[in-house]
Amino acid sequence: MTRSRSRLRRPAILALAAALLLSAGAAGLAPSPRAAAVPRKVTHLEPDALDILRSPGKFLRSTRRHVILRPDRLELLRGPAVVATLPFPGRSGASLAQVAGALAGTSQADWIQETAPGVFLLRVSLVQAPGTVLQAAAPAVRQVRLLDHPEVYLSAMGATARFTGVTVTSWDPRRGRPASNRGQRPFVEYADGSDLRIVGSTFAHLGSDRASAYGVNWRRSTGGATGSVFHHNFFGAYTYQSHGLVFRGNVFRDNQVYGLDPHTGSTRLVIEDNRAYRNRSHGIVVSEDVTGAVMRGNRSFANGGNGIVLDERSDRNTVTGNLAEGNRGDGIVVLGSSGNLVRGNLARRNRVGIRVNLRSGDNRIQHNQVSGNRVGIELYGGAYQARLLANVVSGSASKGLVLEAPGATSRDDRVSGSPIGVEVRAPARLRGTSVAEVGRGIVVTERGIAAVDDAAVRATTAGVEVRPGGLVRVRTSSIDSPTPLAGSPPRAVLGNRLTVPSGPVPWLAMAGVAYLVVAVALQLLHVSRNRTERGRSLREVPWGVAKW
Amino acid sequence: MSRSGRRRRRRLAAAGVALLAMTLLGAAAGQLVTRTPPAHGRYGIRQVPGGERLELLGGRVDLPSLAEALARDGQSRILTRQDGAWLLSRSLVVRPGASLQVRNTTLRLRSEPRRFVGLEARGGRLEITDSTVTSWAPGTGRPDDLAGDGRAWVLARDGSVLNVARSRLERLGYDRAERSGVAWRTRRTSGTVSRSVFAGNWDGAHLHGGRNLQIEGNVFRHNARHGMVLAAGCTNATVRDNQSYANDGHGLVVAQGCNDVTLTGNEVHDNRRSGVDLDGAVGLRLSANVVYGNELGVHVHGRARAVVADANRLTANRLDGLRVSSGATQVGASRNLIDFNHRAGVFLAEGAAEIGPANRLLDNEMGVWLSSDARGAEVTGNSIEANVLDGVHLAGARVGLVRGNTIRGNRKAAFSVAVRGSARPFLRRNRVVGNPVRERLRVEGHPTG
Repeated sequence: MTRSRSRLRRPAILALAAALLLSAGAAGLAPSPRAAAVPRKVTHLEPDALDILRSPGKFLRSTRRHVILRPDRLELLRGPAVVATLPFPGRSGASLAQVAGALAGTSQADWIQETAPGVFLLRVSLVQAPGTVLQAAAPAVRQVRLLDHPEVYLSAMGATARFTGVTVTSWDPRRGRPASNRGQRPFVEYADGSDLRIVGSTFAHLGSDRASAYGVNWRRSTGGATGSVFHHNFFGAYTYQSHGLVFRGNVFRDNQVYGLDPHTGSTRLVIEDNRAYRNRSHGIVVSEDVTGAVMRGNRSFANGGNGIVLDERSDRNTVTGNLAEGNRGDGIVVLGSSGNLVRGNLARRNRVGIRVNLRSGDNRIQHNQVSGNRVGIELYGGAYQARLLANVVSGSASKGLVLEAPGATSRDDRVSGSPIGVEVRAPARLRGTSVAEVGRGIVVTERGIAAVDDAAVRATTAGVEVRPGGLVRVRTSSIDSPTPLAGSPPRAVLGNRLTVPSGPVPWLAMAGVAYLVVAVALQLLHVSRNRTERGRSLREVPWGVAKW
Repeated sequence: MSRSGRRRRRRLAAAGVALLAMTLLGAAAGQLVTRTPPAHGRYGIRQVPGGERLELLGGRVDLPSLAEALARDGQSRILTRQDGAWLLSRSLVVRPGASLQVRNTTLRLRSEPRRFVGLEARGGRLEITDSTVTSWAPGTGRPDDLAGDGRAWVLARDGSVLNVARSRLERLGYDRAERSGVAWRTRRTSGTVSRSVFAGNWDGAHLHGGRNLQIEGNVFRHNARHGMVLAAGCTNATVRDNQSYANDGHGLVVAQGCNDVTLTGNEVHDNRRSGVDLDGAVGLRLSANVVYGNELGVHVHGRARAVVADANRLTANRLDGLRVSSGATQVGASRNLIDFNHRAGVFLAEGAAEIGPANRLLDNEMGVWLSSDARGAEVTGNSIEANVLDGVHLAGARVGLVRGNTIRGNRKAAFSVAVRGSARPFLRRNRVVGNPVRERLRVEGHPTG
């Protein structure tokens, strides 16, 4: 009996729990799931995608198959052994279609096969040797399918490749569609002096968490991508120690980790007018000594992590005119990076609009529009000497500016529409800062030390609030609040205009006064009439009695 | 109204007017009585290399009476009045027995290349109250901003008294020992310095050899070298509630031979070098000071001894909050909040120091850095939290003693070490929680010096 009752009860409880969870979720009570950060488990392909050129001896015990495009021939290898050599003009810009055509008459014809007009299936790795040039361009080549196999890739050393109007994907022949990532998907890697240029193409469903096998990789290479789409890769596109790459007008979407990830010592990149969205982690992230990049006019939105990230000593970059919107993390993030210029961007509806932390110094945050974030601009946790200038921060759900970066300056920033306008948690200088439509204008916390000059604060609760232990100097500022200076007394107050706005209209008192005025007027009227009457009839009228 | 009534009213009115007149006269008479009568002093003009020097030899005089006396003797060019200010065109020395009052006025000291004057008390008494004293270049009609070619100065020495109150002493002095701005030199020279501003001098104020000096409520700023210097022989001084900022050297200096000094309630910030530099001094007490934005917050070095820092705030300095080096001993630090420093909250380079209890070392790049020469260091009972890299760095295998601290939430590790395993003896003797790792090897970024 008991058992049967419990059986009955269990689904009911489950249903109740589900209903509660649903309602809580609907009410926004349940915490929204964080970005499903992909647990990283980096593995290595051994031998790697270039070893067939550098160290063929590593393949002694391997049966991995390669087609190597050399300047004057095609070499077909199984392990280290050459199974066929075909004369081929590899130096003069051969097409992938020609490569497949060259193999067609051999017993290795299925290694690279045209399965439909313009559709090529690579069942083995295609590797470009130094000095070769490969073209893949529509309509001769419309699709390049890399068989879903751990040892299939497209790689090169010191070679050149052009992909124009082509779709390159992994391929699962059993399902007749690109492969899902089981940890060993095919990938594209151009390395060591190669030049890979991608125009109007799509690279999708490539890569996995293997070193240098993340999707489409430029490794010590040049080139870039224009007007192309990178989607459902492990990383949309990745660079390593590559210089002067140009990514312009591309889409990086739905990738398993990052959209675009220039990495480790890549310099002087131009990342312009791209869109990065629905990537599971960050949209665009540069990390580890990526310097001198220009990131301009990009739109990074709806990503599971942050919109645009400068990470780990990525110094002296320019981030300008970008949109970072609706990311589950933050809009623009500077982490452990210094000397960057973040200017003229629009960051809205993120957790934090612009965030700087972790040993980040001398970054300039200027002329950005930051709206509708939980926190507008936040400097903390190792950031120092950040310089904010003329940013417009509005509608932050919690705080407009949070300054916990020693030596930070805020000049001519405009903050409005948040419970707290500016929170100063470390030494900081504010000059010409305008704070309006906030509950508390400038809050100096117990570890804050603020010099406030020429500020204009309009706050409904407190203008400048100093917590015990905090220090502040307020000079030549205009503060309009019921409590212009709240909390601990400032160290110095000089030349300020403190205004306490008039309270609500005291209607009751006004009614009382009006009554009195009317009564007095009536009485005067009565007295004057009475006097007139008295002059006529000399009749006394009792005081206070109206005569008309 | 009757005639007698009118008469009575007239009499009453007359009596009132008389009373009023007497009151006014009495007040005026009182004013006259309380005015200081013109003083009678003695002065002489001495020929010295490079020109002549005015010397006050006796009496208690102020600038108007001195100018009057000089004018009477046909020496009016020495002290002239322009634009409501006095311009002194010869050096003026106040000798023993003489006293000069500079009160409620502006005194400009002529200062042009190769022709600049000093205001000196050599055994006499100099009182500067509610006044402004600056260098002055008549050619440009403004104070002399260039110290490189010499500049007017103020000096007290040889047992003089120089008191400065509620005054501004600006753009004075140059790179020469006794002419460094406003200087008190030699033993037995004394004075008080209160609620005054020392700005744009070579050294804001340089005190050397005085006893029981009281330096309170002053501002030392934008000086070419240090804000305020207590040099050898300044014993039992109190430095309280001053501000020292934006100086090109240190904010406050207490140098060798300067003992038993109390620094309390001072705000020292944004100086190019250290906020408070304690160089070889003995018996120093620092409390309730706020020191931020300097290269080093408090630097104890040069075999300084018996230094106690209690309940100070050392924050956001470009290197370390507190640095102990070059053989400083008996250094104690307790109840300080040491945060946001760009290198270490406390850097023990060389010497013996007890760091703790109850210091809070937060959000520095490193909480505590123990160099391999800091064997006499004890770090006990502190809270070392949320530092950007590590809680404690051990630069050697056996450096000091670290125990009873809470080492929590540091972003890289509780301990970083130069020699693997050197944190092991301390892991159980501290409360180590919430750090990504307990010990990490750090070989990069060793600070120099």
